[in-house]
Amino acid sequence: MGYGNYSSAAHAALTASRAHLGGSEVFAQRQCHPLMSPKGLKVRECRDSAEHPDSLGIVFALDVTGSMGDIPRLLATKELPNFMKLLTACGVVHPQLMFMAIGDANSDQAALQVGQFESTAELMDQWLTWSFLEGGGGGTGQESYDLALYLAAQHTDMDNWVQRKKKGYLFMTGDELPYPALSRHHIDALIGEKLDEDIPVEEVVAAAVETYHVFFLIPDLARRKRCEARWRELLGNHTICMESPADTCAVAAAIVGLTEKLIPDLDALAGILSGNGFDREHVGSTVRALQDYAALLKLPQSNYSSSAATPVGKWWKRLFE
Amino acid sequence: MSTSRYASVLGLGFGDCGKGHFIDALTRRWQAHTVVRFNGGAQAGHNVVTPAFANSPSRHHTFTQFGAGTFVPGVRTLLVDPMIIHPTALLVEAEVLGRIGVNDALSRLMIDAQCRITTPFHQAAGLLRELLRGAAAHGTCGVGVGETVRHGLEHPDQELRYGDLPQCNPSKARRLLDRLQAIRETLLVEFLPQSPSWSVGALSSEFQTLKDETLAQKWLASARALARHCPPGSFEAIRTQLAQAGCVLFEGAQGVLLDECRGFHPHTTWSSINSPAVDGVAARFGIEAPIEHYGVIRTYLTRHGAGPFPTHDKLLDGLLPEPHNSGDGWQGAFRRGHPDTVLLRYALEAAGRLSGLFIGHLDVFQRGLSLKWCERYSVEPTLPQGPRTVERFPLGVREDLDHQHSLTHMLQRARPLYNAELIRSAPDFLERITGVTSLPIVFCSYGATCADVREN
Repeated sequence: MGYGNYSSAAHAALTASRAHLGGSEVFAQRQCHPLMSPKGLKVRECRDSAEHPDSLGIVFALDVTGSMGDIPRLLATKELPNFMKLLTACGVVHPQLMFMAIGDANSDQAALQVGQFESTAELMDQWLTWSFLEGGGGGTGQESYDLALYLAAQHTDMDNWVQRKKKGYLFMTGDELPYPALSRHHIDALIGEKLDEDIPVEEVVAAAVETYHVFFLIPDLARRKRCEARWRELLGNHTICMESPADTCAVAAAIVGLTEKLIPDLDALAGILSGNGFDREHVGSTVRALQDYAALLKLPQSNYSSSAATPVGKWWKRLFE
Repeated sequence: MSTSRYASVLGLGFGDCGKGHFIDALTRRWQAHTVVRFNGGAQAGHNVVTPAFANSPSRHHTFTQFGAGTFVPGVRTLLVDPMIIHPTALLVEAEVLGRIGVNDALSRLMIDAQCRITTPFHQAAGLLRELLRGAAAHGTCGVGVGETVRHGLEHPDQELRYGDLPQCNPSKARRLLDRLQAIRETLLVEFLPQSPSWSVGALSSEFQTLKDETLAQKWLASARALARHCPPGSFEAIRTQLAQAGCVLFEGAQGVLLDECRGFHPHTTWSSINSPAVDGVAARFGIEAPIEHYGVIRTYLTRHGAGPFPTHDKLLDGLLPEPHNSGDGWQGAFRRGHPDTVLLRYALEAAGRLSGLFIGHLDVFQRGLSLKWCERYSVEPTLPQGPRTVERFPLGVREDLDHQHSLTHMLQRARPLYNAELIRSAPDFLERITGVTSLPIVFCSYGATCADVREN
């Protein structure tokens, strides 16, 4: 007997944060929650189970730095809780969702926070609550997306890949550039792992792409110019420009549905979304965000969404009149 | 007709007897489906080391609230009243387990809605109390278990139970927050008069915790996270879990020599460590089948923290490694001493009905070490004609603290008298134990992992 380490850690985690009072209610954490700290992390597992025999790992890595303003909060409170439901609507039966929060390794105290793969919205919600919104990020126009890519590539283990050679999904959302290379010092400080040298971000992307379909979602058109070109170099048409951050989950769920061929085309997608209570504007902006990606998948162009001004197709019109 | 088997493992020393090690071994051997923690709290530290197997390396974990059978896939932990729950530490422990590959510990956990819970305010007040004792420290683990019990007795209206945590309607949530603030304010008022002299250091930092008005809300968010993962277990759910066919193990925390009534006051813990306590918990949930109770000892005696320890030998401190019990933290030094039959006899009597013994650390002899066998103490007689040696300590009337105090006093002055023959081998040791008690020695352990546990 005689052990107080976990209790001391828990005590310290709550009381040490006294210096940073004020701020958000949703993200009650004032520092990286011990459960989300990647320190010493070996592997996050996404496993099949009796209840979920055909699991599919989906990672959502959210930029939580200051430049994103209220978007992380909006996603965490309004959008992500519905993500599971939307995935089901898109025909993804056994999603396992993991949430990561990305900061800036050069200026934030929690450059990367990592949850666990969860199969219910309630458990997922918990990781969101535990996330600490730093609001930092520092002036460089770059964030540590490379850490999220590296963690997904090196420290996750998914049955969909191991058992069925089916890739998982990694969605990053943010508005900044990635660092040119993954710093071994950051990896050492963050995970406690020794790398021989820094790894160019291209290589980190390549490693993640081996087991994940990787996407970068830019939350709104105003934020496009900051970073779109660079992400297109890295990810091509897996760079998705949205019109509103409120579309994030619909876009992500749609991407999974389209890629897995659970949704035949964009028109079918529009039907699913409107069937799930999305209003016409929301459906239109979601479908428009996905045009380029649908072209990549060689899906037929949707006949109503070529411009924001006239998001109207034939049956579509009927539905809302 | 139930086919369930119920067994408990109780330490017969001052703790660190090897209960975790034996619980892990029994869980595997008897294919237990549930390990029950029923006493103490997060101050327990039950070390389990798994053997390396094929490509997987050996793993180690110090179990404090999760049952020590948790390394075995599928085995559930059940925490029942009167165990004290530290919700936020449970989350930390789950994460630590996750890092060594046990990812589902929280989903295998059930917590009795009746369990009392520790808050940061209890923890801070417990630490303040121990700091203020200075040299007269009782030896605390600093996790707030004692303070939680004490506070609950003095302020029953402020007691928090695990079943209070889940959020329902706003007015109930409000009342819960009010109760947390009441705990904080009660403790704040208690320490306020002494506080002006604490400008910096540990005292001041723990006192800040009591002054922090925002902490209750933050703590609640975190504790509720646990309650969402692991909703409070109803009486019926626990009864069903315990009645399931198969084996249930009751994992005692601490050791009989620290028992709240039988330990050496004031160096005791707020917890009952004896077989009637286990029987009482089981009976509460309608288990009628008899429970096998097993006492655990090490070949040598250990004590972590303050309190008398007649056979303590500094030489052994240097010779016997203790990789998972360090001397730092709140508890103070980890000490080792020779086997002590006076304390063993007392422990056997205080533990209540036992079915047999488990003996750990028999491998010390393989390393060429020999131990001394303490048969009696030499004491200063209290009366001129009084006895000058003591072989056994009388068991007093229950809850007679004066009696326990006098035993502590005697123990502090006792000088151990050793048998002329050193103990040089495991068989020799086992034989000497059979001279003290007629209880069968059921399992012996010759190493750190379940692979080293042998039936005797």
